[in-house]
Amino acid sequence: MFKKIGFTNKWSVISFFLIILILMPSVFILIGFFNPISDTWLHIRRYLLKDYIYNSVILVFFTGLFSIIIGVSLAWFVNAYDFKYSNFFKWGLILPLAVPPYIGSYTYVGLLNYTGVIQTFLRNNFELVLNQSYFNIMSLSGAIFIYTIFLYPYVFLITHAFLQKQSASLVEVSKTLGKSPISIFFRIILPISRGAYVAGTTLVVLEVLNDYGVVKYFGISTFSTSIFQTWFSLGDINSAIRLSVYLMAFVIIVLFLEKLSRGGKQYSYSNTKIKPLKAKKLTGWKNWSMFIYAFTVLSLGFIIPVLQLIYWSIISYGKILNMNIIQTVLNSIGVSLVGSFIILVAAVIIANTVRIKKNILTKNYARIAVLGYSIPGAVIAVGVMIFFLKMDNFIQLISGQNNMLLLSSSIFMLIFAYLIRFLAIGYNSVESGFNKIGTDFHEASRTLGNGITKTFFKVDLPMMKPALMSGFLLVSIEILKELPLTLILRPFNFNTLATRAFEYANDEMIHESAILSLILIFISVILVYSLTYIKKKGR
Amino acid sequence: MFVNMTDIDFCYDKNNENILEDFELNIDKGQTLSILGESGSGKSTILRLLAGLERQKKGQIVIGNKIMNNENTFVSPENREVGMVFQDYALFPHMTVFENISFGISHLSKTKRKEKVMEILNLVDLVDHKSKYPHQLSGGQQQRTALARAIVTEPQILLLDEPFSNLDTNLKNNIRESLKEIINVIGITTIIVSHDKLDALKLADQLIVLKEGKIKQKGIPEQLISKPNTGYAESILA
Repeated sequence: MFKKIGFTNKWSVISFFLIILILMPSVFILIGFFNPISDTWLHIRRYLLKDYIYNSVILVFFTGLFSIIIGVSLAWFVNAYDFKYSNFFKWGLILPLAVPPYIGSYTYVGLLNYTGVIQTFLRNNFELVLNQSYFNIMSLSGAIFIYTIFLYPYVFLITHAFLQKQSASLVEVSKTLGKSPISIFFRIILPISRGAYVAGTTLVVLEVLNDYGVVKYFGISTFSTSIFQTWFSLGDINSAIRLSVYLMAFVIIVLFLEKLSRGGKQYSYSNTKIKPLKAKKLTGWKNWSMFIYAFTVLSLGFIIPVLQLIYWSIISYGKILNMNIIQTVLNSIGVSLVGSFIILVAAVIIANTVRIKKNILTKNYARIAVLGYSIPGAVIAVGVMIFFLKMDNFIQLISGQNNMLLLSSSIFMLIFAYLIRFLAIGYNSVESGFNKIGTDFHEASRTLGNGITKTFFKVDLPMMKPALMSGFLLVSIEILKELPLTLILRPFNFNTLATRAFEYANDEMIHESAILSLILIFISVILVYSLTYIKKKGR
Repeated sequence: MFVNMTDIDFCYDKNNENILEDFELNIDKGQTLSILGESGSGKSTILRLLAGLERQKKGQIVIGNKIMNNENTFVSPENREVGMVFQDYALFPHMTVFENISFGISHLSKTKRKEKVMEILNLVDLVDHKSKYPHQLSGGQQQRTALARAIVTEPQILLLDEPFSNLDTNLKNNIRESLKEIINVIGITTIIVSHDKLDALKLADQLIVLKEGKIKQKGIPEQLISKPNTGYAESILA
């Protein structure tokens, strides 16, 4: 019977149990959906739900739209044109990804408020006192600006990578047919890169739906903030579960729209010889305008917030620099290293099983493994918390010791939540590594008398090091910046750079949060740079 | 019969048609069999089934009196004692020639391992290249390394999947000769999959022509080439 469901080796057995474990929180959310409706829920449905939906739709739509405009245009410019510092911008424009949007949001609030650098400068030098509403960024449009400027790199990154592989002949033949650069961009480049920028935009949209920090700080009601509020302020877990299900429905619609807009739009070359696009050298005003555009985006998304944080750090370091900060840094690094390692191990086990045992069961493993990234943090937090509380109840029942919260008060709960949320990132890296090396080496080793495990360690692993390394770095960056899961599921008194920075900012102690934010950004930049280095080396 | 495939049905995807249907194959010990056929005729599938890299839907595979695969038994590739040379050689890029060849005999003592690898390196004339990595070798040297790696474990049968497809014509002739010599020296039962009739003529004792998973003709290579029994066999053997 076990053989029939694919249990033919250790890898498939472990994979099966991992997949069951990953599914558990979602199962508990679904079960919870059928609990009796409370008065709180009736109130939410009648008065608040409309706002949550409206705000979420507006945020998702406009952030998506502006991210496409900025991400695709910049990706095309750095690929097709050689302008001032264009080589630097190829990786420099990814840097805003190192700034978590919630840090960006309070940095911009600090920059623009009455005592901020801009208004102080205008008052002191030009005696200008302007209407405060001009500088109010804590609104829906302000949140759209924040999300766009810090998340557009997802669109840029994927579209840039796609355009790098495109053939020069497409552009050359268009030129010989009398098309202008603008016409080539809209009629050739935009249609062929649709799959790429839709994928990038979907990531942006999922990040917006996942976010808690920006909307909480700006006081905007969305699904994420309402799940937190219903759970912690109103103490109504069942209504939080219902909101989670609604949010998941929203996510499913987004994923369906992605599939719809990508459907049937995968083009491939009829010829295998592809001459890559050669960047055209720009001079004069065209050169400068391209530079100014790229530099402005980079400044808004990275240079300005970082300079502001450095300034605040300088004036506040005496108050904040103490042993606690070292502990916070160590917590952040520790949890991200351990989390990334566990995620990579799980990803390797599942991906190797999927590769070796091709059947209906393993096909679904792959789908389940990547599911978590589309589930917003608040929803995962609800599911994981219920799952761990149930397990604690079970342990209490067995041990006979009441009030013992062994698992739900431990770091394991947080790491498990990271596993669900970020397994997709690790899995995609591992899968692409396996795809790159193919199955011939594995099969050769098997015919030479080595089992799956020995083959993995002696043949697959050494050849997949770059893919595993990029997966590890990508997951580390995400865990380092992660906020909603960490805020809800961390053990008592356990702080990371992200939670501490957010708490300071939320308590109107923006200057104090600056050093923590800077350290977080600094570590992220190192990781992002290492990632681009590994990819470059790999090529 | 040393190798025996009986009543084999196989398809890669359950929804697709069978690649092999009621397929039968028998090979005597020490014989060299060549399988000739167009792409998609099922040639490589036969090798993959014998190596245990795929599992058939129905039927039985026996190698050297031991049942390798039927309804109740499945011997995994690592326990089949089958040596296989892949079409693209699949040499481990992070290992030297010596390391590649010794990979399958890591259970032996260091001295014994070295002794065996040197013996094989002599046989395939690669002693001077033992410290090189695969990318530093010519096509012919890569092929001989893959062959050495496959035979050093002293397998019961040797499977060669399009062994000459990555070589240019001049090199092919030389390599064919040396391959024939090596096979003769070790006297191993060998199956060669190819789409080139010259491979069969030069190397094989027996030849089968395969079309859509079915044997169209079987016999001694020279006889088959002089008397093809169908239009398909004629086109393949022309």
